[in-house]
Amino acid sequence: MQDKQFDWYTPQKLSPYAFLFIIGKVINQSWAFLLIFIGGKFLKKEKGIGHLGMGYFILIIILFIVVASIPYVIQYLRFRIFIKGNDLIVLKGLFTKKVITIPIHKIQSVNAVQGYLNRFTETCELKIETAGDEGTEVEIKAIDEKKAYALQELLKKAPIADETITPPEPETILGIRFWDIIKLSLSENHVKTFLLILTYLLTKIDDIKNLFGIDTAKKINEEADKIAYTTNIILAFTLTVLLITFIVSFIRVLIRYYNMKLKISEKGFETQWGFLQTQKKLLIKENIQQISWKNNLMQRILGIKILRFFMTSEKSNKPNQWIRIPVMQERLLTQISHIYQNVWPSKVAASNGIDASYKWRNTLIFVTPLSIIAGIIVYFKSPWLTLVPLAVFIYFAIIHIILQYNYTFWFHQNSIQICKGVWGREQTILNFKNVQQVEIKTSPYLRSHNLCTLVLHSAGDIVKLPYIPVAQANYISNWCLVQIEFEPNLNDL
Amino acid sequence: MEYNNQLIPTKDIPQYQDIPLQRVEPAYKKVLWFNWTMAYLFIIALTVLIFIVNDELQKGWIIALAALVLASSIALVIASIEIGFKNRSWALRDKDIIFKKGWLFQSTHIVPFAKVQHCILKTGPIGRRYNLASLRFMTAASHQRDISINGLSLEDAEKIKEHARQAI
Repeated sequence: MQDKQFDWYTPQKLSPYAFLFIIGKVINQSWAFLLIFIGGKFLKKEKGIGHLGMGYFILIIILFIVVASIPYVIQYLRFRIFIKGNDLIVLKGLFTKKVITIPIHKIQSVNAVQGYLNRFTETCELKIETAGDEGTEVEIKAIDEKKAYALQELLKKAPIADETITPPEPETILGIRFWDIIKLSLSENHVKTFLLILTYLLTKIDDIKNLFGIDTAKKINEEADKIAYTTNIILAFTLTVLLITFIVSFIRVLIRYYNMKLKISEKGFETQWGFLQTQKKLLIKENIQQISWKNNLMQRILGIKILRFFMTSEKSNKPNQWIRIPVMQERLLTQISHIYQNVWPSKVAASNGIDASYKWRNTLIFVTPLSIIAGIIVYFKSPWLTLVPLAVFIYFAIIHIILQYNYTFWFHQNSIQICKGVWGREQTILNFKNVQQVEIKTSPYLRSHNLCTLVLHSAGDIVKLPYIPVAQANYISNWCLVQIEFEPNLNDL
Repeated sequence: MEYNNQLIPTKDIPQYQDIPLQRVEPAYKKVLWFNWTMAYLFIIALTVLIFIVNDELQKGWIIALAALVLASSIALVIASIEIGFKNRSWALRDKDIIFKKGWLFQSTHIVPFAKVQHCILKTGPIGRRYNLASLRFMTAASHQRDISINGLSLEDAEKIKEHARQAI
């Protein structure tokens, strides 16, 4: 792995041009402060109270940039990057010294980016990524162009963990028809849609007030006061709101699922969807970390399940990147999930539940104090209003009872499956080989009752088993670790 | 469809809970004391400043309430340092690392080296005075759930890092 031009086995520094980027970064980070300072200076001058000359003024700005640059300069001086054995080592830090060790075979991508300033100074911005973080592991602002390309080539020669696989002629197994769109629209979360419409309208009312100075909210209230509220008017109003909500839900579903197709091959899936613009995604089966399917009460009645694939490097905080597929038939669900786990634990293993204390502990710890505080506050307004926090308390108490009752999990030698939900249901399957780390959590109450919460972290999401016996949690943890550490050819990630 | 339901053997499986854990370096408690003292000095100074600037807050019961909140949180921090420190422990196995921490709410993490993407060895200015370091293991786990083991001696940290590097 020795490169002829640059010896990457000896520590390499940043390009001297990095100083330009440091000054740019300081100005970029403090431009608002500088603007206020400059603005203040000129305003003071106009009012005749300025007492510093222009020379001093420029000197203060230069001094500010110099002082603000010091931490970056120290970082620049301390930065070293080199290859040691099969690892890429990065030394950096200001007060805290950091040694980053990245095994070369774990590197997912090496990107060399050249901006305008980079081209001018013959440098590159180098970004090195592994699957280990949601961000970039190593980001080098200015490294000599030739050095950067040499390193890129050097790292490219090593086997990259994730190669792109071309799927061989996939077969279409799912297609969304117009009637499915109607069913999905009916079963959408209409409360969420209604709240979205309401938020949109409220922002528009504010916009009108800001643009034209018309107090729209006041006008609406005045007009509403003039209406004589009969049963028919209230009914018509309710129906109109429902119709608008349904139309908006229909549009949302249309945008999300129109012309959705799912193709299956030995390597994974290919999805395609889109109303205004068609999107395509390739799901390589090795990158599927876990799967789940869920439905709300309406979807349960209509037999709809929303299947989700949790993929490697998927951003958990960006739902628009998630792969969600509406499945209308149980047979299709089995066929699709087969590629991730061919035997559902629920089909072959005994079911397990969580401890009964889960239902009242959650109500006691979270709901009771909030209900009491809310009850005391509203009591002074009107004693009758205390019925509202009481109703909220009863509602959540019932919710927790149902949740505990429905919480079921199964596991076999390869996988764990969880079913939970109150009105709807959510099922998750996680293969033990996809677990990244195991966590066992306890509280004083759980310890005194020999219980704990087991958390299995995967690259897609977390699977939590709350309030289970410690012995069972240890058993699952130990077995899961055996699957990861001793089973051959499973440790792809 | 092919169904199978093999019996999971139990007696041969390595048991993580039977492994004796090693406590972090006692000197790390000094680092914790220093860090928390600095943090609370800043918080107290800020609170006093807010009370001086805002006349409306200069009432006996508000001052007493603020003092009570501060004193309670300081008491919690002291308890978590003194009692929780005993639980800060770790164990290195051939194929994974175990780390336990917490006082009221305790957690045990087990990170298989096979899943570690890379690891970072960190030494802070206060820690360096006591020859301490911390190790951070980055896995592909979602929600940026990486594991940091603080309060290791620099030699232990180097050894663990080297072991992890070979096992990755």
